[in-house]
Amino acid sequence: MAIYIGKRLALLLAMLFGLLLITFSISHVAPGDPASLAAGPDATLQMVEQIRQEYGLDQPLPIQLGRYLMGVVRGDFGRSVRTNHDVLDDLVTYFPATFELVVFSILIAIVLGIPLGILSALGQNRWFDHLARVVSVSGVAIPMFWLGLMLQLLIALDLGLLPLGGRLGLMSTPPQPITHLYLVDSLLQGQWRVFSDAAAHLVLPAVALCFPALASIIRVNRAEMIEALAQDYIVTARAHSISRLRTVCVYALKNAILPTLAMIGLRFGWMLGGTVLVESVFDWPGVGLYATQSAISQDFQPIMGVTLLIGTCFMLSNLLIDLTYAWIDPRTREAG
Amino acid sequence: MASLDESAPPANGWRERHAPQLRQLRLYWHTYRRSGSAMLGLFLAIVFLLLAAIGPAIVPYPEDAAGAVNLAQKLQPPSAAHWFGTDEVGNDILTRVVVGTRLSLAIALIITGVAAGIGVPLGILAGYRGGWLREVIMRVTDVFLAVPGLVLAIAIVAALGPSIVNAIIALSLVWWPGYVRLIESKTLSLKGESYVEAARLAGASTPRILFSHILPNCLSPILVKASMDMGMAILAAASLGFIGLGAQPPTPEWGAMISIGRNYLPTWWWYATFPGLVIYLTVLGFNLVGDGLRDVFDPRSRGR
Amino acid sequence: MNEQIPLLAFDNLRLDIDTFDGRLQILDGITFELAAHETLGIVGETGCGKSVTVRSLLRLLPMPPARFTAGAIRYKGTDLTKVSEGAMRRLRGNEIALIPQDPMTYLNPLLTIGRQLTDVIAARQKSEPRGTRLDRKGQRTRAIELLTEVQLPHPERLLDAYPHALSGGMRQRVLISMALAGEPALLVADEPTTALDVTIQGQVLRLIHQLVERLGLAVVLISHDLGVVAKVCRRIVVMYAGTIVEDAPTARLLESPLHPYTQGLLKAIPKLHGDSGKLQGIPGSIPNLLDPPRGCRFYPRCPLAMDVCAREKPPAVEAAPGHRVACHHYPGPPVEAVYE
Repeated sequence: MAIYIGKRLALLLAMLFGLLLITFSISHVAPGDPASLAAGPDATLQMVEQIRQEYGLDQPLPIQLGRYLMGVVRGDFGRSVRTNHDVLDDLVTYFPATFELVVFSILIAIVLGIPLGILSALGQNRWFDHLARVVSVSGVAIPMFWLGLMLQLLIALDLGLLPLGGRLGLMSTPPQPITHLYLVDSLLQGQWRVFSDAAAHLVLPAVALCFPALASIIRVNRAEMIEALAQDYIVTARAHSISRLRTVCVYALKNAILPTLAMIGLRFGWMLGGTVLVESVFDWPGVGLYATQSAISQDFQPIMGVTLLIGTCFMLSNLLIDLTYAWIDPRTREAG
Repeated sequence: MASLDESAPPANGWRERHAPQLRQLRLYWHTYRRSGSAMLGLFLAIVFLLLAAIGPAIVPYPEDAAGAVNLAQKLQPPSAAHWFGTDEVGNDILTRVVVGTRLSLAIALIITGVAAGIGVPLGILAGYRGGWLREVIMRVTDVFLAVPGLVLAIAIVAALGPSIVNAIIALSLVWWPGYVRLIESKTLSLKGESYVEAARLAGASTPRILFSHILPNCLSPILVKASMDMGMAILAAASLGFIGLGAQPPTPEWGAMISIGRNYLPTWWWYATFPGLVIYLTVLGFNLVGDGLRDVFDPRSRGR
Repeated sequence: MNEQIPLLAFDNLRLDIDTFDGRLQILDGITFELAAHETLGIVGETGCGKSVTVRSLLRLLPMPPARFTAGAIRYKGTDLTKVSEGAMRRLRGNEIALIPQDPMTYLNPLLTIGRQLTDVIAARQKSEPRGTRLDRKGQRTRAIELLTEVQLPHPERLLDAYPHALSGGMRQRVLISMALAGEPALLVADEPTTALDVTIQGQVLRLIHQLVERLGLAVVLISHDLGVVAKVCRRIVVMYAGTIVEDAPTARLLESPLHPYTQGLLKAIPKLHGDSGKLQGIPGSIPNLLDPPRGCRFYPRCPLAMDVCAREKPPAVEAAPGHRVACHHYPGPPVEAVYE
């Protein structure tokens, strides 16, 4: 197992390098030259020249690439023209909000999706199954941003049940930053009001973000459970009177969970991309909103930074999924 | 059905020569028809295609499509005269949505077409040739797929400048790796089939093997993926339009319309609601069609 | 002395399965008995219903599409077709244990051998009184005992292995050890050697034979291979298309088969020594069970067919002591069937 982990980590590093190559290419393939892109639309010619000198953008490409890579290793991702901060600082500021939203969403999708998929498979073709199937098929088709708007409209504005946007209401102060996750920090410090306020703010964006993932997970898990329950080893378990609970939740589920895991990984990627949309709708102060606002102001450096950040997050999650897969299925470990 | 009787006179019309393929197609259709959701998807997809084709000719307020301003009618709620209500310049939203259908279809076709056009040949090449060529192609594909598509697309559009054309370019660049992965693994498994082996041993040239054996068998997964991608591409383009990186107003692109309509919530709720509903139904339609096709081509139809 | 009730008695059992295309009449009046400590083989070609027969014994078939339409299955006197699912669950593994066919697919690829074996042992423990139940360690020890019983080397190491790491023969032995976990009175082996190489087949059959001798189990062994069945079983039942055509002690069946189908089977086996002559297959194929022939089900393929065979089902007749056959060529009083 250790060898497998080692191999995957090495692969991860190679992929990160490839990602850097891509972001480098994007900023150099643009019609405008990289200097004016970095300087922003309002820069004077003088400022553009200054930037060109500072970043060595008049050097030949390989040298630029080298400088870029060195910069990344040093933590230099450029500067945001709009916020006037280093991109790295901005990313550090905005990331926890996105992390909280995304983790919460994927947890909802997994914790609801897997049991619903199992129940749906067990009660095949009953009303419950039909409902689950309709939800799971349509869930992937709903635009996340539109779902967010509709949730705001119906639940926040018409019914007034949950807040409209942001991470906390005006009356609450954020807890002392330990993990920078409002839910965790407020819980750790016993601030129940802040906790419930933060949780209330989290619900609608999380639902909008996780809905397509939830739908896919129910779908895949249901199909895989049906297939697993039809296998011969289930007959063996029945022939030896192993309890139904154990048969379903261990014997069948362990096999069914593997493709479901792959789907979870895939959907997590869509979720990371979806933060751009959902954070815009709910004014959620995360890297998605940061990227959107930067894009609209044609502030280029931050977008590269966000791309690298989200790409890295996705690669890490894929690694986690692969390791979990290998842990469950010993045959993959040996296949390398 | 088709008789194998040697004594029957050989008929040489196109029908006769392709009788087995025609029968196979009829069988596919018969299987497809059995699924209610697949038929629903087909219905939605056909409505979409019809609207794209003849929609602009039958809209109730054609002048609104061209951008007429009618402030007296602005922000009217849905009524018999305006099924989807009117927007901030008095245009009929239904008209603009229908006109936007053609745009969406074009977007979907171009993105899917380009992505498949690049991805399928690369995938076949990688799967069939193997070796270092395959390594290179698959590594590049893997890196592309390691970044969530929307984020990469935003980065590309930001570099190129916000416009619908750039959005299409960006999305096509983000989409092709998916096809490479699909087709590479399919080609790998086809390569191991005995009839391919037999053809190779019989001395068939590589292009011939690729065209007669590999490509036709790749068609079914391509069709399934392409039909779902039609919907997903529309969704992605609308997402970019919503952020402001795709179609720019006053283009009647559904995502761009929603981004403006957002400013008019909650009082003038119809502006943001109806275009989104249309996106949902269109994507749903294509997804159901893709699912239906998958059940038709793969006899182990999942859980039906 | 009272005649002992047989351990297992199939009494004119009929089983139908409702399918998309119609009602399949899979089993049509299966009648045979098995005494305690006896070894019985069921032989027949693919599709003749032998697997279905034993699956119905353990009620491992999905019972809504499958239905008992007549007859009974009597185990130690109790009619299993009428008992509850709960009673069946108590029976499975404890009294009657299954050794399934393909050890690759019948073992869960993602669980260790030890896990699967101790799960079976733990399931068996449920029928023990609480005080005497084994704990985890005890279960593990018992697992090692069982693996040793089936002559597997290094049982402690095997516990942590996964099925794919074992050879086919070893996996089959694991399945046998699982069957022995509950100390059953009856072992049902469904094509236990079909998925194995010929050399391994011999080993596994020898193992089964030894276990039978040592533990005094009753065994029902199913196979399409007459040679396999002849090695282990004292008595053989020949099935065709859901009916039993012949039922005799092994030696008698091999020397003087009475039913034309059995004769055809024996003619189709190549002999190692002596002159086989021309190998003869049995022309034709099994009947469509949606609409089976009205008379004898073998009638369309039978070289000795008579007119009556098309019209009437031949009753099972005791043509010689302990030797039953269902064929119009052997008329006589039909064997007593309790259900009609």
